[in-house]
Amino acid sequence: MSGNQIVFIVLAAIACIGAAGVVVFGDNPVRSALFLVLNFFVLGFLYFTLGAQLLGISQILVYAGAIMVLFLFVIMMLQQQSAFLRSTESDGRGPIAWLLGATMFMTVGAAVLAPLGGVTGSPILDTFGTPQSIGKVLFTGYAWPFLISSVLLLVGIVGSILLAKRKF
Amino acid sequence: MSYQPIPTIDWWAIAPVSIVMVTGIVALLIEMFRPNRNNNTIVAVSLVGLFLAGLSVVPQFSMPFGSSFGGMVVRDYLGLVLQLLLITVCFVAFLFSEPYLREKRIAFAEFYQLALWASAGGMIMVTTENLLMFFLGLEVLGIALYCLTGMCRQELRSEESAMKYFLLGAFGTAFVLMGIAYLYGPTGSLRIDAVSIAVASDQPHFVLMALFGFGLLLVGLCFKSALVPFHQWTPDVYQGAPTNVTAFMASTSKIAAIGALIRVLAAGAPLVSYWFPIMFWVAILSMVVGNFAALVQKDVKRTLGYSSVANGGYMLVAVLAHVQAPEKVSLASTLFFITGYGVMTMGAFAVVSLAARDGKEGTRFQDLHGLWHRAPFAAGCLILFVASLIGVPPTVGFFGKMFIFNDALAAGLLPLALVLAVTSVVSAYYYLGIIQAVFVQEEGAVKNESGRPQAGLNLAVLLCALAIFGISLGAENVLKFMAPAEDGRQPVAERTVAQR
Amino acid sequence: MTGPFANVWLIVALPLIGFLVQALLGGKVVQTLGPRFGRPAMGALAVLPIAAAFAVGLDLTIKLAQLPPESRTAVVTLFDWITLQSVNVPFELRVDTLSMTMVLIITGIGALIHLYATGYMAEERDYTRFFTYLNLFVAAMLVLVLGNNLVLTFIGWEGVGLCSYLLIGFWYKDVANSKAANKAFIVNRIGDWGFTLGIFGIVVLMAANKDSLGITDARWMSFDVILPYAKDLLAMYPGWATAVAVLLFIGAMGKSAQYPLAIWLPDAMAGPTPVSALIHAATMVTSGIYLLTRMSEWFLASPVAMAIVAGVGALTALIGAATAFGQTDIKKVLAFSTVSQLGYMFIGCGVGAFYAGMFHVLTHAFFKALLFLGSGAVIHAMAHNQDMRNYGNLQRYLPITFATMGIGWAAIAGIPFLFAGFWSKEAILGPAVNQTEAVMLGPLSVGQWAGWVGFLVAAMTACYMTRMMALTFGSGPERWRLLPAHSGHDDHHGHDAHGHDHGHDHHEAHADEHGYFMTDAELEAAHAAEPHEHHHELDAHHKPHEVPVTMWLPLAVLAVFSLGWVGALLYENSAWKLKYWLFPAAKKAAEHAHDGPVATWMLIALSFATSLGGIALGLWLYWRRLPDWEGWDLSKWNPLQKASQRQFGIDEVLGDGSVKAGAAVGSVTWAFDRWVVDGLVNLVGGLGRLFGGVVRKAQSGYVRGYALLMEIGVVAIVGYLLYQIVSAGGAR
Repeated sequence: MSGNQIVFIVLAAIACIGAAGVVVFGDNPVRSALFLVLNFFVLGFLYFTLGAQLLGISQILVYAGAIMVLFLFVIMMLQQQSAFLRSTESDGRGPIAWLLGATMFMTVGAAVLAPLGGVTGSPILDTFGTPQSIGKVLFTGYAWPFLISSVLLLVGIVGSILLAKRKF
Repeated sequence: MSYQPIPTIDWWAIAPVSIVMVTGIVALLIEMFRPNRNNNTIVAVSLVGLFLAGLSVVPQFSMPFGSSFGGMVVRDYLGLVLQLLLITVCFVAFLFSEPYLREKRIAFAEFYQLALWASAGGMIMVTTENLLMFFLGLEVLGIALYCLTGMCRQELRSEESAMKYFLLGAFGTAFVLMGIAYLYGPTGSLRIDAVSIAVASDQPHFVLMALFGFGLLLVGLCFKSALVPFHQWTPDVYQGAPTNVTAFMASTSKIAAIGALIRVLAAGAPLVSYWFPIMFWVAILSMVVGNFAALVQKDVKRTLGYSSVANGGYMLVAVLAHVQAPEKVSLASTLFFITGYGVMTMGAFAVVSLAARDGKEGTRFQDLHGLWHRAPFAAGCLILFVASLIGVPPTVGFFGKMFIFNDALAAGLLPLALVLAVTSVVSAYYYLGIIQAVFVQEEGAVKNESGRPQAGLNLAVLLCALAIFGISLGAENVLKFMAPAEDGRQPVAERTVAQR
Repeated sequence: MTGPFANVWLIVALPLIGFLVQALLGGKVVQTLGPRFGRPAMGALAVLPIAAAFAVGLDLTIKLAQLPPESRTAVVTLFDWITLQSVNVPFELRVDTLSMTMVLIITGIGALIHLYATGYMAEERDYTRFFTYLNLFVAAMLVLVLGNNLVLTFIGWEGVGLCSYLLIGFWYKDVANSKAANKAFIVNRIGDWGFTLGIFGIVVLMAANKDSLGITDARWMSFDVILPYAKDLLAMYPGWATAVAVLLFIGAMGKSAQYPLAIWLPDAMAGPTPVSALIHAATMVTSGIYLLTRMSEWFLASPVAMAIVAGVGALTALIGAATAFGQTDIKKVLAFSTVSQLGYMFIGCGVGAFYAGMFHVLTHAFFKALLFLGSGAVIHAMAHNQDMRNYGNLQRYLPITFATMGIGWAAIAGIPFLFAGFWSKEAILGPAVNQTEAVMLGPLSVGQWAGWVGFLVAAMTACYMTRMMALTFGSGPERWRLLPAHSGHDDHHGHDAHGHDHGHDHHEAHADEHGYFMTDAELEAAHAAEPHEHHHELDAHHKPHEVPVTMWLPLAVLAVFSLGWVGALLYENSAWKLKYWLFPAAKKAAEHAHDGPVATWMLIALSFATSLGGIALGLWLYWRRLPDWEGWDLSKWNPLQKASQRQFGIDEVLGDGSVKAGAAVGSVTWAFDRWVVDGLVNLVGGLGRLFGGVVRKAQSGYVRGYALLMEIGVVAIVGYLLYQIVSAGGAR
């Protein structure tokens, strides 16, 4: 077992625990959110081990940082009404959803991921995920989608203003 | 460090989308000043912007077709026709929106900006062969529509439907993303024809991944096109959204999604034997469920929602006929039908929007009573739109269905053709209910009692009615105009396998 | 667009111009000139184009007659219309003997009825809207008969359907009228479905065989391309001949009101009386016979289809006649009589005597239009009351109407030799019973049986028409003077502000959730809301007046054409003999074989007996009184009469049954969409509840329910893909 594999297994195990923690300890949303932070962090590390530096950085900055802070704010503001969060208990759909989810994972996941088990080497370049290479791509070949995504953010902002507005 | 040469940019290809987007930003800036404390300036600027965007599409019909920006923007008949149609739809929606929004006391200027950007998103979706661009367009369109759906905040129904639309839309988007990931994984390509790359790679598990990715992508597109069994949001959202948003959404979302579906299905040709039965049944289910479920609705907007499901089914029949036998069946009839659908839907919803009075809006059938007296012109045109939706000759709806029927027969899809014929007979029943509701007299109705300025609405309705006449009178020429969409420029046909 | 018939486009264009004038200028003109002058002006502008079209049609017919019989067909292409891959559907009109015959009927009778309507509708607020629709109808009907390809015929077919819909619901404020209009439209859609499939059958057949037949003309949906090849095609595919013929006949059944699709026509009497005369008696309802005659080669190739046509025709004739006995509404009697006479025409077609069917179309158009217009005059004179039980002794007040309607009555009752109806009836029943033209289906000669049924119906027709005339004009008491003032005698009060029937039978008693038909409460409300401004009630002091000249002049003209001289069209050696006029090929065949007499002496004697017997019976029963067993008191009615009045339940079963069935299918599908999937989910949930002991009310409409259905769809799709891959032995 190579060092790479050991690192991967450890990180993957933590990520899985984090993901499970989000739903398993479901009665306390703050705890769930903190588990999600853990999961995001470890995912960021996994990106680093794959050489995707920029992605790893933004994973930690944006998800583990900004978005989770927002989540926590909202949860704490709603904490008084935490009963509301737990009010939807299983009405029989849950098991079916589980069943369907599992079926889908088994069909797609098993059929697709199994053949990849033997893959060890990576065909990508060393500079694949560096900020320089991504920046170059972003401002040359992908300049147009980059612009469009700025409009996407604008849509989000204006849309949330619209929904929050009281009068015109 | 070596620098890549700056590529020459095909400005024309991105001009329509850019103009529409910039118009949205200009509208945003104007809102800051709010001259005269109303939206008239914004409407005027938006209409001018849309007109310019339309102008920038027209000369492209005579330019060489092909892709630029590495396949992210593509210029072909399909894309240009649909872009023009999307611009027109937005234009018509803006014509009748302002009085309606005022009547409902929700005249937010954000409607115009978001609708413009949503249009741009739809335009991106129909002119790209790149999955990333496709996804961005889908999201711009989707997020703008989620917000617009919920813009009527004093109505619980509006907020509820926005929430539903958002949650289910996010669910659908997840499938699209997962599909794209599975396509990207084995091929390293974000091009829409990743399937053929995977097939060409001759590695069984690559094909497997690409196939599942393709399937998930189809799920997302079926959701956006409101095809059974991913249609359940449609009636709820159509009913809950403000009527002008419903009109805009029903047309734009459907046009963009079907346009993208055409490209995706054409790109999936190498695996056609796998997915064809799925889409075959989706088409049948959409036509049957859409038409029959509409029979028992008591709300006009819900009825039109289910009708939209059924119309999605008709369009899918046309697309499948083309995919099945591209050498015999061109995309012309699909484009013809979509164009007709966009016009009919806009017109019908524009008239239905007249049901809103004094900040309240009822859209049950009886709320339309007396419309004939309040707005005779609009009500008269509604007959035309509904006749066209039924498929009474010689309206555009009749020709559209006839062409699709012929295509389906030519492609050997007899069951689809028969289901289409039978279900469209059924549809006459519920459409007639709408007409009947309009003609029943209302107690003590006064002509144009609300005093709402109807000039814009009448203009919008007139445009749609003229378009219906124009398209059906010149069916031959319109079809000829759209026929070059088949000229071997199918996304897959000439494509060589792209480099990784 | 050259040649002697280049003017044919005028025939369609003139009514269309009239339509545009009415639609665009009508309201303005009436507003500017005021109703007193504006309405007659617009009325004149409505009549003129139709009269002009008639003149053009007459001119073309004379030109056509001067040609040798074999070359009496011309196709005038106006412009190229649809050009698809290998199909060419130009906008082309066909000038031949059949189409010109129909054109003359439509424009001639159309002009007369337009003239009549200028008087009848004079007090109507929506005067120009009426003529807008009516002109549009004439244009559409002309497209139907003149169109040289299936697409044009279909467009005309739908166009007349639309106009019929608009005109039945002309007084749209009354919900009952809208519902009658909807019923007509929906029932016709069933027929259209058959017609459409029939057209596609022909198209598929032509398209599939155009290479083997060597059809080079791309216009292979045009009649002049289809008909020459029909014989070869049908010899190759005998099964197709039957299929296509039956489908086309379903279409004809819808338009021409044959049972079981006849149920819309009686309700269609809700429209104004000129509409009933023009559309629902003289022209539109005969387009089914036109279609059969046009496609006669397909029908002649299939004995099965012919037997079905004759059988349905006979059945309809019988049911229509039997139902007419029980009607007290004068227009309903005529409506069922029309249904019955249409059945006659189909008997003619079904036994192979297509020319006889067309001849009956011609004579029936005259005398039935006459009867309808006459009934309109009576209704007009009787303060828009349509109940014959309130009439009596009107011969004293309406002499011209009585005289002209009397001629119409004599024609439909079949008084021998002197009146047109006798000749056309003989033309149908002779070939039917003698089987001179017939294509018979084995030993069971449906056509012959249909002929015998026809004789029975002839007697019945004579009797119920006499009943109608006697109750209206007969020398009994003037029954409206016996009415208690304003107290409905029973629920059959028959009063009506607009001269249309509220359809106070069957349908409105059955509420259904779509609201297509009325509940009793709604009906009451509709009655209460009905504006009564124009007409005074019919009461004891009412004094009927003869109608103005614009209304009786058409009656007189139609009466002239209902006389026996029209029978000359059947005369053996006449150059105008209708059979050879319509089917020149038949003459050639007849040169070799002896062309048997139309009617043998035995049949003529039988005709004498049936028609005079029926009339005598009718006069004896009804001339001097209204019998108690069909009087105002419904409880005294005899059961047979009651059953007849209720249309033997056919309408209830079919109308409400199909509406309910449609609603049921819709509900089921909707329920499936909304509840079954949820139900399945809830069922499993219920099982889960049993085990988990958690009881929870399951609800639907939740996002998670929708999401679950999506998930099911995804899993189904993904699972299907996996199944495909596995069954294909792994990915390629």
